[in-house]
Amino acid sequence: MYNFVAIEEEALRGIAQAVTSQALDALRIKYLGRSGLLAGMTASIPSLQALERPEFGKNVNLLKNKLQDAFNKKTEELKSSKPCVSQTLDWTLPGTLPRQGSSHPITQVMDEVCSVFTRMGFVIVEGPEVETEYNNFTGLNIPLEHPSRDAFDTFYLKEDNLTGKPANWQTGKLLLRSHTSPVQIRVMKKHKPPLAVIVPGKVYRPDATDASHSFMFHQIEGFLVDENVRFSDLKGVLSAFAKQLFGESIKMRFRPHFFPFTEPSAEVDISCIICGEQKHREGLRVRGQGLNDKRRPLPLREEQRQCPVCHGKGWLEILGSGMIHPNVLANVGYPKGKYTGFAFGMGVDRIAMLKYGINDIRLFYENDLRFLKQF
Amino acid sequence: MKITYNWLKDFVDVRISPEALAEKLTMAGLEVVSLEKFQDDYVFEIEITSNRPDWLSIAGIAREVAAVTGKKFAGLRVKGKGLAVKREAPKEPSLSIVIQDKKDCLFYSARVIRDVKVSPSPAWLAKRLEAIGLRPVHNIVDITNYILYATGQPLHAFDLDKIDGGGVIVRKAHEGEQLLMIDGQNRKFSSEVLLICDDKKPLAAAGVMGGKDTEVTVATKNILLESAYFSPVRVRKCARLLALSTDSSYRFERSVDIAQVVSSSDMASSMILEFAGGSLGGLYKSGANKVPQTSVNVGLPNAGRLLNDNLTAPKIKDLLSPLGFEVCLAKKDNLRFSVPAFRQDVQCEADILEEISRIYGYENILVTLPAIKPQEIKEDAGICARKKIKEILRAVGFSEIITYSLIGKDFLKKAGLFEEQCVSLANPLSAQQEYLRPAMFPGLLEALRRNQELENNPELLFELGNNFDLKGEHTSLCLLAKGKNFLEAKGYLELLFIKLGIENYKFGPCSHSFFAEGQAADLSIAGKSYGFIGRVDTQALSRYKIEGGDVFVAELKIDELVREAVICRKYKPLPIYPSAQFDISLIVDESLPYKRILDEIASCGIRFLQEIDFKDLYRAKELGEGKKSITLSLLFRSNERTLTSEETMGFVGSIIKRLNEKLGAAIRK
Repeated sequence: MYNFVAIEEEALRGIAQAVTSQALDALRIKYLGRSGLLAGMTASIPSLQALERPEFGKNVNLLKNKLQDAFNKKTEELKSSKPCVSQTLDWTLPGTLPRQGSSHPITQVMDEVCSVFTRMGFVIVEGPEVETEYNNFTGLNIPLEHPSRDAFDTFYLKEDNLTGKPANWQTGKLLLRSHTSPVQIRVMKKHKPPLAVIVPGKVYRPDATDASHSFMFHQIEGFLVDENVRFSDLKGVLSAFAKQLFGESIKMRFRPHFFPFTEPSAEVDISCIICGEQKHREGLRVRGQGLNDKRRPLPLREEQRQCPVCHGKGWLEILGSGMIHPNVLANVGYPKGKYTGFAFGMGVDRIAMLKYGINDIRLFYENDLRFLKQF
Repeated sequence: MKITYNWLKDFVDVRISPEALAEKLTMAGLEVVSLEKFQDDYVFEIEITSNRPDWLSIAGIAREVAAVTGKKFAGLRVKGKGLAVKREAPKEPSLSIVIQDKKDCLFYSARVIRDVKVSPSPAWLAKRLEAIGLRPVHNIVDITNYILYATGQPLHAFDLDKIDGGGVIVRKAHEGEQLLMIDGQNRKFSSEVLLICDDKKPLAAAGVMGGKDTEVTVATKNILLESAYFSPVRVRKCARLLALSTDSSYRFERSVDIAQVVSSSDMASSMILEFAGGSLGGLYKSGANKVPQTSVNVGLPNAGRLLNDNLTAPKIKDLLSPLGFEVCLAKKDNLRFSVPAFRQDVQCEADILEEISRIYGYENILVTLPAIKPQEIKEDAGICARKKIKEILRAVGFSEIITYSLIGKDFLKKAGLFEEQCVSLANPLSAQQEYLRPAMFPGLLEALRRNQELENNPELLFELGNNFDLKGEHTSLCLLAKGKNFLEAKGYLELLFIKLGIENYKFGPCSHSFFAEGQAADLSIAGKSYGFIGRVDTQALSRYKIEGGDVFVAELKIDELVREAVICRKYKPLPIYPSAQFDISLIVDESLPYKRILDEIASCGIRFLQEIDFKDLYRAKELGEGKKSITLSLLFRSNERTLTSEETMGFVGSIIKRLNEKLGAAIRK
C-alpha cells in the first residue's frame, strides 16, 4: 500500500533539491497534479475497507497540505533567491573571439571606390583580362609605332597553340591588358550614351617587381559620356570622389599631362595625407622625389628626412584623367561632335598603400595572414 | 630631362625664383620631379610627356616658360660670339649626299670644317654639361651635345679624313653588315637598320650612334658635321633592334623640328669656329627641310563649353599666340590657327583645346557636378552574386587571398596539370611567369604552405579570380579547408548554394589528375559540370610541403553558376499542423552510399514524409565487419490534419521494411 512516510520524505527531498522552477513544476505535477500520486491515492479510497477510510483520508490530506506548503515555500525561495553559487563576473578577462574571416585589402578598397561612384549613378562593368591589341591600343588612339607605346609595355600571348580563338576572346592579336581602359571600347561599341561606367579589374605590365611595382596589379577605370560633358564636370566628379575617400579637408590639384586617349589630359594630386600641403624645404634645396610612377621606377636618392609618403612634394598623385579623345569616340562609331566625355583611372594597389600606409606592394600578393588579417 | 636655371635664361628673361618656376612648370604640364642646387645654378629634372618632343630642349621649354610667365621668348641662339656662318657654295670638290629612300630620311645636311683644334671645352660649357648630368669629352663632341640639349637637334661629328670617297650615303644596311660603335660594341645589322655610310663602309647607325673609327678624337683635323631629319618610325625600329636608346635616338623617334635642322648646324658651327678654331668648308644638303604648313580649326562654342567659360576670340588668341599659334582665318564662331612647325603633335581641335586649357590654367576652371542620367547599361547579376559569395565566406571564417595569374612549369607539374592545356606568353619576364594559370588550387596550396612556415595556423582560404585555358577565360572560386572533415568542407559549398538559392546541384564521381581515385567529387547542375571538391592526398601534401591533417580543396566555375542563382525567394507558408519526428539508426554495408538509402525511402512514396535529416555516421567494431551505422531523423507532417501515432508508426515501419528488403539494412538497438 502507500508508505506515507517514505513518500513524504522523497517528495520533500525532491523539492529541496529543485533548482529551477521548471523542475519544481514537474515535481508538483507528479505529486499534486490531476493524474498525480495524491490524486491516485484519493481515487483509491473506495477500494479500502470502510474502517480504514477515515484514517487513510486524513493521512492523504495531511500529506497534501505538507507538500503544498513545501512547494509554495520553495517557489518563493526560487523567485527571490540570488543565484546559488554566485560567480562575480571578471570583466578584465579577454572575451572569447568568434572565428573571423577576412576580406583582402585590395577587395576592400575596390569596393569602397566603386561604391563612391555607384552612389553617384555609375554602373559597374567588368571586362576580360585577355584583350585584343585593338582594344588595348589602337582603339584607344595609342598607335603601335609611337614612343607613347613604351609607357604601355605589355605581355603578348603566344598564339601557336590557340587552335581556333577561344569563344570569349575576340579576334585579333591577343595580350594581357595593361590597363582597364579597353573596357571603354567594349562598352561604347555596344551602348549609346548617356553612359557612366566604373570598371575595376586586374591589369598586367612587364615591370620588374619591387616594393612599388608588380607585374600584376589592380586598376579602376571610370568614364562618363553624354552630350555636353565639360572639363568642369570631370573636376567635380573626381573632387567629390577624392573627398569621400580621403576626407573633406584634403586639397586637390589638376595638372596638365599627356595620355593618348584623352585630350586635354590631367593628372590629379591630393594634398599629402601625412604632411598636408606644406612642402618641406631646406633653404633653396628642394630634394623632391618623383612619385611612384608605374612607368619608370625612380630610385630614392637620400634618406627620407622629409615626409616618407610624398617625399617633400606635399602632393600625392592618385589619378590620371582627361576628356576622351575624339579619335576614340570616332573609333567606337559615335557620330562626330555629338558626344563628349571624360575618363579617369587609378591604381588600386597604390591607393590602398596610401590609405593604409603600406610600404610594399608585394604584400598584397604574398598572402601572409598576419598582413591580411589586419584589414 | 634636366635643364638649368641659368641656361634657361639664355632664351627667356626669368625673374621668379627657381621654386616658383618649378611650380609654374609643373602646373603647365612640365612636371618638375626634382630641383637641386649645382654650384651657382639650379638644376630642374623635368618629366617630359611623349607628345611634346619640342620640350626636349631648353629652348623649347623656354618657349613654354615665356608663355606662362608672360615674358618674351628670345628665340634660338647660343652663348658665344655668334660668328656669322655662311651657307655658301662649296669651294672644294663637292661632297655628295645620297639618300636611298626619302621615307627614311627627309633631309640631310653635312658641313665641312677644316683645321680644328680638338681640345677641352671652355669651363662654362663643361659646367653646363655637368649640371645636366653629361660628361664633358672635348670641344667638338661637347658642342654637339650642347646644341642637342639647347635646340633639340641631334648632331653628329665625323672625322672627315676617315671617310672614304667623296660622299655620304644614307641607306638601309645589307643583311649582316657590321660596325664597331662608339660604345665599344661591334654590332651586326639587319636590313631594317638605317645607316650612314661612305663608299666602302658603314659610318654610323643613323640617328642612334656613331662608329668608333670615324669618331672625332684629339688627333682629328677635319670634321664633317651632320644635321638631319630621320624618320621617327625608322629610328625607333633601329633603336629597338640594336637595343640602344641615346639622347639622339630619343629625339628622332619623337620627331625633331625639320625647320631647325640647318640653323642648329649653323649654331654648332659658329661655336666650333669660336672654341676650336678652323675654317668653314661647304654645306652639302639633300632633300627638303620643309614640312607642309598645317592649320587647325577651333570652334568657340566648343572651347567655351570645355572650359565652362565665355571665351571670346581675342581671349583665345591671347592664350595661344605666345605658344606660336597664329590666326590664319577668323569667322564668327570659329578660329583657324596655323600650327608652328615644331608642334607636330597638334593635329585636331582637341589638341588646340588642350593648349587653351593649359594656358588658361586648369586651376581656373570651375568645378561642377554633372547630371548623371539613367543609362541603358545594367550591372551584370554576376557582380552582385560574387560580392555575396565573398561576404558569406568571410562570415564563416575564410580569409580571402589573391595569387598571381602567371605561373611556371613547376606550378603545373606539382599540380598534375599539363602545359598543353595552358595559354602561354610570348614575352614572359621569367620562366616562373610563362603560363596563364588554368586553375587556382595550386596557388592556394602554396599560400597554405607559406603561412604554415610562418606559423600562422592557416585553416580556411579562398580566392575568386580568373583562370585561363584553351577555351578562354573563366571566373572561378577556389576554397581551401584545413583541419576540417569532408562533410564540413562540403558544407561550405552547400552553404553557398543555399544562400544563392541554387537547388538542383548534384555531387558525383570525379576523375581529376590531381586527386587519387575516389577522393574527389564532381559538382554538376542539370548535367553540366561546374567543378570539384577533393581531398589532397599525402603524396601531394608532401610535394607542397604541407604538414598536418586533411586538406580539402574545391574549385568551381562561377560565371554560369551564379546565373543559376535564384534572385528572388518566394515565401512558403508556415505549417499549421504539428509534425511527428522519428529517428532511426540503420546498420548498413560500409560501401553503401547515403543516396541509396534516400532513393529507397523515396520509392516508398510516403507523401507525408516532409524531411529526412542525416544525423550521424557511426563506425565501431561491435557493428560487425564491413558495416557502418547511419542515423536518420524522419519528419512527417500533413498540411490538412494532425497525423496519428499509428499512422506515423506505420510509415516508419514500411520504410524500415523496405530498407531491410532492398538494402539489407538492420535496425541498431
